[in-house]
Amino acid sequence: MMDYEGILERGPFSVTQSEKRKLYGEWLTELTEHHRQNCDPYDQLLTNLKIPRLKNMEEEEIPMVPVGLFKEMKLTSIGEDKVFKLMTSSGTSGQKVSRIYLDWETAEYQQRALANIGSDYFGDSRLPFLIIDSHQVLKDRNMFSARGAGILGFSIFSSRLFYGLDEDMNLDLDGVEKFLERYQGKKVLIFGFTYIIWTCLYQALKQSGRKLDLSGGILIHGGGFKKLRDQSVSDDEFKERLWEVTGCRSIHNYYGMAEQTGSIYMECAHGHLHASIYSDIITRRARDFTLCSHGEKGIIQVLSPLPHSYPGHSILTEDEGIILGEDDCPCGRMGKYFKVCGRIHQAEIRGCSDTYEG
Amino acid sequence: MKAEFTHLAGVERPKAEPVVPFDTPVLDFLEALSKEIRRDRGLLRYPEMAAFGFWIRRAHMEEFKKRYEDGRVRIGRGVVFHMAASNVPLLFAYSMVMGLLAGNSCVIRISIRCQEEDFILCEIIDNLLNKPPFASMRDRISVFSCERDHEIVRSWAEACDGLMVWGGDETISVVRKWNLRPDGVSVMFPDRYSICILNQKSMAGMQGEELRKLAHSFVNDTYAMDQNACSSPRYIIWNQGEEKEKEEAEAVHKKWWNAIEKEAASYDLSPHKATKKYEALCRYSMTMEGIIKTERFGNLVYTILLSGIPKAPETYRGTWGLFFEYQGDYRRVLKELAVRQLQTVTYYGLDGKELMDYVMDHHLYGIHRIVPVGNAMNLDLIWDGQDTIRMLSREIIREEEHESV
Repeated sequence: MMDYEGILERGPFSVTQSEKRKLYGEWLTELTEHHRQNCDPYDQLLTNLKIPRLKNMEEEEIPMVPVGLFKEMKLTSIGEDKVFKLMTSSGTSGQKVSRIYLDWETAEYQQRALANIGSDYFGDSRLPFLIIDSHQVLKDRNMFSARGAGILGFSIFSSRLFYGLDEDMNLDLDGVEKFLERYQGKKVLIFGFTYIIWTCLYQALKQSGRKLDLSGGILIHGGGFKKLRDQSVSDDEFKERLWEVTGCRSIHNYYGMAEQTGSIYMECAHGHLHASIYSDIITRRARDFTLCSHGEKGIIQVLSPLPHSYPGHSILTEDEGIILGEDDCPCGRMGKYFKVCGRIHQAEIRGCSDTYEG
Repeated sequence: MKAEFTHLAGVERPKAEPVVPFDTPVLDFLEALSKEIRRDRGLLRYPEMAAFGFWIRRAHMEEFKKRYEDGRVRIGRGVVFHMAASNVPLLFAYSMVMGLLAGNSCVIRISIRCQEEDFILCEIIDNLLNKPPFASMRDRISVFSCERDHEIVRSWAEACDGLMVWGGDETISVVRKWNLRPDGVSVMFPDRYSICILNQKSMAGMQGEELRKLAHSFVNDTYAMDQNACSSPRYIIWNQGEEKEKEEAEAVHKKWWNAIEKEAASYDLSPHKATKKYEALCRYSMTMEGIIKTERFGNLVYTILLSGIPKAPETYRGTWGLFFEYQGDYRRVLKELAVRQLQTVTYYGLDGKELMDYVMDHHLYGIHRIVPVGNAMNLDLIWDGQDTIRMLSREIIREEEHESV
């Protein structure tokens, strides 16, 4: 049985990469066997991929489940009665979403992992929490979206929370100002999805000509830059523009996904995303899935010992990234650090069967 | 409804004046176009362009012409409207050639999301049509691009004498609901799939250059269009006879796929293709019944060896180099594979005539082409069992007056 207490007691960034690699080989070998025994499609996959049973695998040998399969198949290692939460990814309408089956334990471990990572970045004290989203997003408790999970996840750091957007996603400027007045001079945590922060906070402020004083705030945002890149907004510009209207200098992007919630990768002051002890990242070459060198762009694989209720401990994502180094980021955090280049560029699929779509 | 409309080549409204099939001005124009394409060295980077230029060379067109020299009298129908899939490069041009050869004027709609090569070819065509010798041809051609829901698409489809629609059951069912002319003809190319039969015994001793050449032909059949073309094989049938062949199977197959991996080395397997292909392999591994084993040769070649042919074999898609394999006597499974969607059978080491006889004797429902490995992509005027020249022209019957009457 996996020693989750032991894993969660470790400092999130205290383990060197070589030690972590060894631990991940052991943990994920055990988890792979656990999921084979409890998830039939997963076992059939591994059997057909000729993965031998009960073999000690190195971290990079752990078989990968493509992230897209969570959208198409029910992949779970627990019985119906053990499902505590059904987590879904935040797809736009019409898109298929991932369905992740969490039991109470896995949900708890992922929550604690997030808490530990968070406190490494902004301390243990509970902070006032300004959410740049509408409370509507949490309305349906059964269908848990990644947006909702992010909000709930980060809200454990907060003493008081306030939703900055109304039901129609309009900025409630007066409400936000009132909320901030109460905590003048104090550290405030601000959280939202990247694109929502850009459109509903930055652009709304810009339009109204007003400013907010978030100079004492820490702004955490995630969910991807794709939509912003489409509008030619870079990471740096995002920070710069937000600073102009809020005075906030502490802006951290994070990389994470519904398929491995909690064990997110947070950006440090040097602009690097960091893998904590709760998850790891590998980049691979398209040609044969061999490992990329540091500095080489590749397809991102994410690994985590936390997914116990579903076989999501080793996932091949549809993102590309570059591992920049390990154990030697000037911020002092151990483990790998990297940057994400975004979603894999989708080349046109050729075929004779889409006249009408074109 | 978007109003975006770009005129790309020829005139806005071509003349509806039927001419005889393989009319000399048409052949002259195609010959000039072929030379134009082959003259421009800058076009070498588009292999599909060179292939098209080669396909319309004079000698090839004359060969086709001979096929129809049967003493009967044919003339075109008038205006043929073409709807070609946006993502098969230059498909619109092949379609246009068929319409012109049959004696028609052609109106061609291409998608605004077409390949770069498509737009370049339109430019070449338009420049050529602007030259005095081709003034009359100019009146017979119109190429434009617009969104699929632009009203002009439907209005041409409903007004034309002949309609050619390439690809997509979905597209075809949409078009069929339109108010097509009762006397118009339609040539439709719905979704198809294809297979390859390799005679294991013939491949067992194959080495060196011979193996490389065959592998090269196979790679052209498959990877050239991401294995997405209707005629690219998805299933590989290893035809086995004697017991002994079963023992050698693994070694022969391995040698073959290694050769394919090597021959496909220059194939552009982008991160998108690699991830989606791995996803397909995993999905099939999780859901398909009767998998004996899967093999991976880097990410270039994935194979799934099956103990039998699944129901609805056409629904299993191999793309970017993913193949379903079966080993045994091909005659045991051909009937199951030959659903009506089965288009092309490529073969090696077998007698094509024997294959043909098998199809006839067993009254098989599918199969439109039986061609050697390497010829899968060779487009013919007879496609999907339909003779485009005969369908897009009308034959005139004339009877002599008898004095005795």
